[in-house]
Amino acid sequence: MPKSMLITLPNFDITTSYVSAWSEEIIDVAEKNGVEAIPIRGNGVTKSHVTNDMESKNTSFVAFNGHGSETCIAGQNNEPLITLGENERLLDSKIVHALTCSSASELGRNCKARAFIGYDGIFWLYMDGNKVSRPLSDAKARPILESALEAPKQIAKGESSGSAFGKSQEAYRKFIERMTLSSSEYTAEELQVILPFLHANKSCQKIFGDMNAKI
Amino acid sequence: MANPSEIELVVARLRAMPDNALVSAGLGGGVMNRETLIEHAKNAGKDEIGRKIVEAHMSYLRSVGRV
Repeated sequence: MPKSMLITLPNFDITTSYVSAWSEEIIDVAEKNGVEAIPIRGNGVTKSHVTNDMESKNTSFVAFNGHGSETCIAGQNNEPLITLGENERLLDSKIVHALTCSSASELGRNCKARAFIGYDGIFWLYMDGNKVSRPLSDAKARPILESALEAPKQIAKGESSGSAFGKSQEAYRKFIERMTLSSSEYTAEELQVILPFLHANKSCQKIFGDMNAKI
Repeated sequence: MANPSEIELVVARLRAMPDNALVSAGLGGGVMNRETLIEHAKNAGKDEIGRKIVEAHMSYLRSVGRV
């Protein structure tokens, strides 16, 4: 049976437009590595659509993008897709990456996903206000989004969940180190704000479950 | 709990943020410009987003030995 993954790409506000635009690359990475990627975009990211796809398609990896809370992963217009105590069984035995605020805190820790990588606090994002209509051209967002998205890209490449988490942590560390030591791409004023938020995201990225889980 | 000197330090750092920069704090904080971030940080004693902004900055500064 061919390997496959599901990826949600909501885009109803600035934050979701950014994480979804930057996450499109995961689809290319997956397909180059023989993994069928099933994207659910924009208004399609509803509870009914996602539930149907998770129940009917035999995907071993699900990459969620969007907003979230301690107990919930949301979709388009903040519709709850997965809620602890209601339908977290949809995550059973799957590798899950949740690029949302806080969902690792309760949902990730308590669900029965084979492995869950996410954040147990705010996922901060720094952006250039002049680039919000073209998220992919916003170089200021790159350190935060590239570090975070290293994890799902590695899983899509066939790496284990533990290795993917480690490589994402390493990407955060390298950006922080490089930008702390010297940076020609960012002004000192920008670094004063980007670095603390990059550091905070690194600290609240968490993994639960089987560190050897592979797609 | 953020103390007044920490809040003052973080607010001073945020004041230097470029005019066009935006920070997203997810659902709870939304997308904030410099003035909104500063307003939250000033109220870190009673404002959850403000407390987290100050925590993020102080944690980073401690990690690099600047406080």
